[in-house]
Amino acid sequence: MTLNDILDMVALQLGQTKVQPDDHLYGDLGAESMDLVHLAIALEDRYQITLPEEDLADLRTVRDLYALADRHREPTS
Amino acid sequence: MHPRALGSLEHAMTLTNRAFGLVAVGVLRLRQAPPPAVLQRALQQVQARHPLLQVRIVPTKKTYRFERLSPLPTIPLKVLERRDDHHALAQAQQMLNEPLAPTEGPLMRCVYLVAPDQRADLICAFHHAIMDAPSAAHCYHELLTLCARSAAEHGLAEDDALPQTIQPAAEALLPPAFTGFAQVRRLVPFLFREMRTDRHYRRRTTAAQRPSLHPPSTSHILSESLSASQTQALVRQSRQESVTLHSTLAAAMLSAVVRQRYPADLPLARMLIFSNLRPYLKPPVAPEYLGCYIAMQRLTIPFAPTSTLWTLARSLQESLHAANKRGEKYLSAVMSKHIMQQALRTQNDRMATAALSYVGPVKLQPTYGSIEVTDVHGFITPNRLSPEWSAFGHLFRGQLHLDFMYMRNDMDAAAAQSLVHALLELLRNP
Repeated sequence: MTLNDILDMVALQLGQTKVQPDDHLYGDLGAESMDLVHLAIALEDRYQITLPEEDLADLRTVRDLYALADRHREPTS
Repeated sequence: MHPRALGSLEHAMTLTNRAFGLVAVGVLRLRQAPPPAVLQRALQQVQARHPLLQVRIVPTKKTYRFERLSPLPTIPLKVLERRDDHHALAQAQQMLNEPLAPTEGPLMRCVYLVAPDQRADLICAFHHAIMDAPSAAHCYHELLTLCARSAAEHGLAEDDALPQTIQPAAEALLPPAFTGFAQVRRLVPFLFREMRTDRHYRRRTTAAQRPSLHPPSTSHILSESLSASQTQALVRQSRQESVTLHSTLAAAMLSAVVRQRYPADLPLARMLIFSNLRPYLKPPVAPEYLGCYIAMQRLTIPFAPTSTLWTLARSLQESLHAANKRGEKYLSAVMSKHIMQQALRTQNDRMATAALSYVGPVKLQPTYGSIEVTDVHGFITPNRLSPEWSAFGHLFRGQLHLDFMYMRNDMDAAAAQSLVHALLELLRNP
């Protein structure tokens, strides 16, 4: 998983042509909670991870989303 | 501090308070709770940090204004002996029925229930114009942080200082596409759509529209929660159905209330949804700035006896998504004062069949030093024009909590309990 993969997924879900890592999901990209759920579903399916509801609520930027997905990919010891 | 005129939403809250005594009440349940003197000191520090806790609301010729109180009275804190675990909700219910006097201020008051075993409940009533759920949670966070730090005899760090300026109202912070002439251009079709939907809804749902006939009535509350595993299962299933937890809860509320209260036939159901505007404003407004930055949206959807939880949830979600893509959350915030003025003038119709304010995870830590936060609740005074059944939902410590509000004129305690039971059944076995 790379940051570019996440940028592409966000652009596709939100119907945007250009998305930057530090774009604010709500203020800049106009994401709604439904969009975040769809993004979470897509990420969970693609990377076989589980994204907790509490963590989704904390997301601000596309980079935050990447960091969250990446964190949940890491094997737990 | 510069006083300012109230924004549209703040004005709507003030009108509702004047007509029906609207109060927002928060409950915080604690173990290893701080002594009352420590809480009192923390409360004074929090009041000093936030300009909206130092004001009253005064009427002017055309509108209302926030005006600084001088001399500044401290936020009232009444300390009572905690009787049992039910005492906090009984106290919250009592405070929900005691309107604040906005022209006197301050616009917050508290009751602290204290037991010898260091269990305690802090119940605070706010004027809704100065506080929404994110800022109320932040206010509690500051109070608990200060209480926890009091042992070390220092307060919040100086770099945590907040400007002593009241933040602008929501309509002054809307995205550029919703200001000036662009706003007017969007408002016209929005209002036509609202009128058309309203007429259609009124024609087909007379019974559900009628407000209770014999005011005044008292507000009553109930509170329930799902276990952590039930909450996780509901989140998982909502994701599988491609709907948000918010949509699932709203659908469950509508389903329960329509089936229990209007079993014969209600072809359309209307839900009042409250959304957080803070992250969408320019610039975004952080929760540490107290204020009311919410949008109240009405969603009208078809309801059939065969409607399942998921068909209703999808229908609500699509309706909300379409409305938000048209920017209606901004437009409804702009229009809230006028909508409330109109509703109060006629007093003919209820605003919806049910209402839900779902705020997601509450931004409170489970512990502050040795203080443990075991539970959080939130309530808003219902009135004869608001839906007969309203709820405030949130996640805390991995559990979904639901706080319900209703008026005694609309239903008795057994009917309310039966509604809650039906809702929980739906959520536990969707």
